[in-house]
Order: sequence, then C-alpha cells, then structure tokens
Amino acid sequence: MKNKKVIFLSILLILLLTPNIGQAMHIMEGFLPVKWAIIWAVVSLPFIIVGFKKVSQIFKGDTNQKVLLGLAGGFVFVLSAMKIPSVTGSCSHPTGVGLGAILFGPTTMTVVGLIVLLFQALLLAHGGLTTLGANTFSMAIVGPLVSYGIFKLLKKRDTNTTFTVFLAAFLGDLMTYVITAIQLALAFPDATTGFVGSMGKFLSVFAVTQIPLAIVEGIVTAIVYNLLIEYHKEGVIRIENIK
Amino acid sequence: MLLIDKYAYTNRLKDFNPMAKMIFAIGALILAITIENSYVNLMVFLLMICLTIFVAKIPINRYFKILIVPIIFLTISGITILLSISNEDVFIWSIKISNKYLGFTYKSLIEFFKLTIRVLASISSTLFLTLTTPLNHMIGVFKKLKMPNIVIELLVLIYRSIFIFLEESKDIIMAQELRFGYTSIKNTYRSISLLIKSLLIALLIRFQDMQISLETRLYRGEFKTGD
Repeated sequence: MKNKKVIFLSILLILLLTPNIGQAMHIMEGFLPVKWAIIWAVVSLPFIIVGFKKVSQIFKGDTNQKVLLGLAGGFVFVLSAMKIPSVTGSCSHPTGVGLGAILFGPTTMTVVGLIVLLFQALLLAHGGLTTLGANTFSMAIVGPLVSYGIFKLLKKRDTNTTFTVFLAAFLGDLMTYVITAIQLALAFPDATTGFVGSMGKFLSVFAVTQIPLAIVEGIVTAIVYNLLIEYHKEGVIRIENIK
Repeated sequence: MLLIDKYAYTNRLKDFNPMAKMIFAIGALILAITIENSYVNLMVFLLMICLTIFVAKIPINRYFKILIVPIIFLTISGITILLSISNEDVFIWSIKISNKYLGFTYKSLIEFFKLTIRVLASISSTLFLTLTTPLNHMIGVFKKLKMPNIVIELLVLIYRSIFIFLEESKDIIMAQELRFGYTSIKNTYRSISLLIKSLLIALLIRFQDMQISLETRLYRGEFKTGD
C-alpha cells in the first residue's frame, strides 16, 4: 500500500512538471562541476574557432552577409522562445537549429548558435555562462552537424524532400538530447551503477518531453520548408540552399 | 516579453560602473563553482539575492518568476541524480518495485544538497549581473576587453534583430489568435508553421532593405560601435 502511494506521488510529480520542461534541456547555470564545465568548453573551442574563421571569410567576400547572419541570430532566438503544444500535453520550444543548419550551413550555425545561447543565458536565464561550453557542444555543434549531414546525404539519393527535412530536424534534435544526457551522466555517475546507469536514467527522464519535441520540430520544419519552396518557385524570395 | 531585459534598463543599479558589476558577478560565479564549500555558496546566494532585491529593487515575485524554468530543470535533474536502482538494498531509503530497489544512498543525498546550493549560488550571481546591467553596457565592457570586432558586431546585430522579430511575431500571433488559429493541435501546428515562414520571409525582406539603406550610408563592411 505504501509503495503504491509513493509511485502515485511520483507520477503526479512528473505530470505536474512535464508541461514546463520543454526548454529545460539547456544545462542550467552552475550545474556542471568546474572540471566538466572546462572540458566541454575546451572541446567546443576548435569548432567555434573554425566557425568564426569561416564566417569572417564569408564576410570578406560579401559584407552584406553580416547583416543576414545578425538577422538569422534574432530569428533563431525568437523561435526558441515560442511555445508549441506537444503530443504529451506539454509545451515544447523549437530549437530552430535544424532549419538554420539546412538554410545557412552547420559552421555558420555554430557561430549563430553560440551567440544565441549566450543571449538565452543573459536575457531568459535559460542555460548559463558556466555551462555555455557544454550547451554549445550539444546544441550548436552536434545538432546542426547531424541535421545538415542527413539533409545532404538524403538529398543526393532523391528521397522525398518533406521526409528528408523532417528526418534532418528530428534527428538533429534527438542527438542534441542524447548528447546532453551523456554530458549530465559523465558529470554525475550513478551511486550504484555508474556512468551507464546514470545515462539510462537521464535518457529515460528526458525522453518524456524530448522525443515528442523532436517529432513536433521535425513536422514544423518540414511544413516551413515546403512553404518556402513554394515561395521560391514563385520567385518571391531567393535562398541559395533551396533548389 | 523579455522580463530580464526590462529590469536591466529600469533597476536602481543600472548606472553603476558596468565593469565593476561584471567583475563582481563573474567573480562570485567562479567562487561558487570552484570552491566546494556549501557555506561559502550559501553566503554567495544570500548576498546576491539581497543585492538584487533590496539594493537594485527588483520586485521579488518577478525575480522568482524568472527562476521558474531553471528550478524545474534543477528539480528533475536533481531527482534523477538522487535516485538509483539496484538489485540489493544498499540505500538509506528505498522502495521495492518487483525485485529491484529504488532509492538513494547517503552519499548521493549529500551530493544532491551540495549541487542544489551551488546551483542557487551561481544562478543568483548571473541574475544579479543580467538584472542590473543593460546589454549595451555589457557590450561596452566587451569592447574595452578588446574582444574581436566580428564578435561585437554580431552581438549588436543579433541583439537588435531579436526585438524586431519579437515584435513581428507578437503581431502575427495576435492576428492568428483572432482568427481562431490556435484552437486545436492541428490548427496550432499549421499556424506556427505559417508564423515561422512569415518571420523568415520578413527576415529576407528586411535583409534586402537593410542592404539598400547601408549602401546609401557608404557601408564598407564594418560597423562602428561607439561606447
């Protein structure tokens, strides 16, 4: 009887909390021990340097790209502040990373993502300054790379575009979530089962919101992409990566 | 919509030297995550909360509203760290589910408390900085610290365009709500997709407009940001 009560209470707690954790995949300020905060910052650093080098090269060729990138950053930030009701009754926030990576390329997205994450930490208190390295690695490096890679790979094989875009955004989101779980598990190994057990715990807890979120983001990205193609065909807009 | 930004420009400490505020807050943050002492962390937390609420005069209910999302993350991840599953009963408190035990050990309980207080100390330090320092002051400090110009330019441009898109999306969302755009899940997905598409097109149109206006002002590929 007592066990049932505890289980009931924990289920109630989960139901109460899930509506709000859509955006909670940013590792919060001060959550990682100093050792891991530094390690993830160092791991992210080469990608950031490459990103900035690439971006300044682009700027040298066409100075107007600077303005475009600035606008893209604002766009991704506003997307991540939006609420979308998701399948489990919770609200989720699109990361916009998949769409950004498809439109602007992964290295550019690393730079934009880093600055957007900084602004999220400063303006929304989501994520943090000490965990910026870890969050950048999962959201601005791995996510865009996976999305872009899948998009390019399937594009070559002439798969249905809607499905390709869906898969790219979906898997990009999913990988972000897996990487975050790995980061948390490495920093906080389980008391009895170690890293593997801890990773299982984090993966299953966040799966409740993150898998529906990834599906929703995939669907929305696919619809947006199709609408853009329509506009592109009619000659209203011109985007180089849409063909 | 951006609560922190609003208070950054209206609080009592906004004209205080931004460099000093930044060094103070970042110093407290580093102290909070490097020193593994819960008493130090507790002191940092209390000091920062007092400074933010009583000196900078941030309304206390707003302060806790900002803290909601981080606290939810803390609760969920904290409980995940705290509880573990094992075949034998090695825990100080546990429940039995079929033939497994779910509970927590003394060590993980201590770790959980240490983590909680460390997180509270560091988040209150960051919030002190962001709630008292407007972003343009912070960018001024970055400039003084000789950050690469490309980073400063991107920071300024993105900061500006955030508000362009926030305003635009607010108007679009209101128009969609007036036309029952968010009444069912299917409608919502459709509306959100239309919204994102409209924003993206607004982005491209704005890009073209800005190109023209920059060219008329003899833009040579560099933005001059003053202090």
